[in-house]
Amino acid sequence: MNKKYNICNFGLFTSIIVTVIGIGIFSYPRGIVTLVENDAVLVTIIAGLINIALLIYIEGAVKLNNYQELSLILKNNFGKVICNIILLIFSAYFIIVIALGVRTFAAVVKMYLLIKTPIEFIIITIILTGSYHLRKGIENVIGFNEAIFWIMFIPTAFLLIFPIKEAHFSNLLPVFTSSPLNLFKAILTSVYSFAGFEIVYFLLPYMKEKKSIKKVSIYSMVFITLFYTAVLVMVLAVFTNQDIKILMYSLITLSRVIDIPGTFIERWYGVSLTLWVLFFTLLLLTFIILQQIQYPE
Amino acid sequence: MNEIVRDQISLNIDDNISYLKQLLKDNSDIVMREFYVVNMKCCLIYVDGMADKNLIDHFLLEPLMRFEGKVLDISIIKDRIANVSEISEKSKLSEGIIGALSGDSLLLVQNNKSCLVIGTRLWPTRGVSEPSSETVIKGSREGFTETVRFNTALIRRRVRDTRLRLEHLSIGRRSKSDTFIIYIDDIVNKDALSLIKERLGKIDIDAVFDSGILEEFIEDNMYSPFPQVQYTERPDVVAAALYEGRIAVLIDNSPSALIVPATLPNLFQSPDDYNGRWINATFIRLVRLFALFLTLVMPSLYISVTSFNTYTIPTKLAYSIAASREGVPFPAFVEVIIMELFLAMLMEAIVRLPKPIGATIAIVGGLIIGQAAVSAGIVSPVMIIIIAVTAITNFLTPNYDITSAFRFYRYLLIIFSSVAGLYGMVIGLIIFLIQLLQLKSFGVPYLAPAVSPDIDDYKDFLLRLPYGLIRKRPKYMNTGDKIRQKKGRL
Repeated sequence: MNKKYNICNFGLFTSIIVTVIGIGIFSYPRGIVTLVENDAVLVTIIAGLINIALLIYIEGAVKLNNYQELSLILKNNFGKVICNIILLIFSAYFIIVIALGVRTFAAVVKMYLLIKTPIEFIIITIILTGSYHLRKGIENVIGFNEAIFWIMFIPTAFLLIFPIKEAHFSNLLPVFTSSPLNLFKAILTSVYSFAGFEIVYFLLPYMKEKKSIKKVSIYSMVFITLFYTAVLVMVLAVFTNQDIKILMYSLITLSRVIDIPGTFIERWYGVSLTLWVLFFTLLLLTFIILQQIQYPE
Repeated sequence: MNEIVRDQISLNIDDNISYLKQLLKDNSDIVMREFYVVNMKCCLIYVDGMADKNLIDHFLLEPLMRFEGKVLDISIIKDRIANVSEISEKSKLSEGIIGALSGDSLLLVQNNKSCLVIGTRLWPTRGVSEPSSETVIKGSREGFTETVRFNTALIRRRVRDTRLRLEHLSIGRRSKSDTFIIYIDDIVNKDALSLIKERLGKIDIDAVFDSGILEEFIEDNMYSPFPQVQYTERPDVVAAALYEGRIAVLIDNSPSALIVPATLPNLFQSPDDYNGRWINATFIRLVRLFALFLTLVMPSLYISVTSFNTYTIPTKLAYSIAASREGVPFPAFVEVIIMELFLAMLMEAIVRLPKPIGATIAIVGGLIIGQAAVSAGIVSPVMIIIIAVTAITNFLTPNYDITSAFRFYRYLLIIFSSVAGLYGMVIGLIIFLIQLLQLKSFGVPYLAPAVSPDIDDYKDFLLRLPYGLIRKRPKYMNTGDKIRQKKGRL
């Protein structure tokens, strides 16, 4: 790897956000709402807090080891054998996460954009584009995240604002109806939906300013939590919790609701989905992490 | 390939003269004037048409031939006799010959081991005129000419700084074109400077006529369609670039300067942005960005919404497009390709042909074929509108090379969208973005300052804030001196 590369604060901020949201967003509302119905918003905030704690823990661990690479940290602390096992688990984990992500994404594209195209075609194009993207290494991926951050989130903000006309916020009530066991399960699921921030293990050694890492990563996690909360609130207010249990990808259905009379584009979900194609690139960062896992000699 | 010219100057002048006559034989434009100063034989060599005969006759030959002193040494001619300002002593014959071939005069004197090169360059030149490819509404009307010395003077007039540097190089084994690397010593991006010196030093070619050839030798990625070097014919643009820590390269016989490092936003800026009101300039910049987006996606969007994702547009519009396409035998993809290629040919024809015929072609192409193609049912009227919008938005950018680069990606997007509709189009756009991200111009990211942003750099990117607020030089250029003005106007 190119050790010289320095990731700036904005690069870390966008990379965390883009990776986490890219992995979890499509199916997030359904999974949580099925378990805890209206308490989903609360669960998301709790999960966000837990993740902030985890992030602080990771930052502390890397800092304690002088911002070395993960493989070196593991080797120095656990010895070669355990280090290799953990790295193997990490690799397997990332492969599974990417595979699931790509599969979900391809299914969404097939369902809404390319109805007649076989799903294999979509998956292959994603993999090809991704591999092309990764040729020049981590620097480009971070740059890409920085560049598309605005392209992605500005339209998404509109996506969340337009359906307000249809929203009934009383749908968010009543709260605290679910059992503690379900709450616990939902928090676990929700924490998993924040998966992807493990990449900080691999990004921190390349940071330019080590001081501001903690602050920046907390900001990014706060952003993600707010984003998920906003999505949940809108989805619940527009559809009610019973509908979400049936809707496969409620965020996309939300964009179907948008109807702005007199605009050039009638059905916004085509547009929003097109933009969401960009989201798949979010997974690319994890691709490169895989590339980066090197077993210490 | 390389000609070996004698360096040594013989004490016997006849020996030198016969060598030069042999070396430069069959040249009717080379003048060798032999004469005597007191008893010493001298020989003056210059190229007819490139040297100032007036100066040679009145200020060189006259004082020399009227000289009546005793000792004649070359330093006495240089210091006391010749009434010319630019004169230098060379110990190598080859240097003297290159001087003579560049328009200077070479003076050989008997019993001397060195020669004199007298600056007598004067040839017919085009006057300073307004560059036709970069017109402005407000601002300077001066443009570079083909004589590099005038061009450096135009720049020097705008940068009266002791730290301005004009380094001379001679490029081309046979053409020996004068090339200048121009920068301001304490502002310049040092990494880029050493890179450009290294790349220019590596060039080993017989001739360089124009900056376009030079560009291909110094750019970072020669396979990319994007220009990584900024061209300009305007001295004010060069001067402004120098103050931003960039480097200009001027070459003789070319009216355009190269500026490096160049980023994509640089190529979209026009001097008018800075001379006009800042709000208007900001608006125009946003319009340019939007036009850029349109020119890139318009045809592929048309293919997507007509062939694949018809449900995204309003039903009424979809019907009217479908109705206008009724009777058109080709799929949207073929339709687009026909019209795109036709447009490209038309533009090329208008550029290349002499002006009176060009106008005819424009009428034939634009009116008759456009109208006839629709009524014959080969293309739909909507298609004509799409192509027209594409063509107009394409030329909103001030830089021609960028236009061609975007045309290339437009074709790519057309192919992608004809395979997979909107999804394909977005994949194409992603590839486009990746390509841009991978590019670097002399160590500066091509998309700077859009990537790795610094809040100060945003003041002159999509926006053009008032000068009072732009206090720093662009950070992504890695300039030496970073501050433009200490306080600003606040």
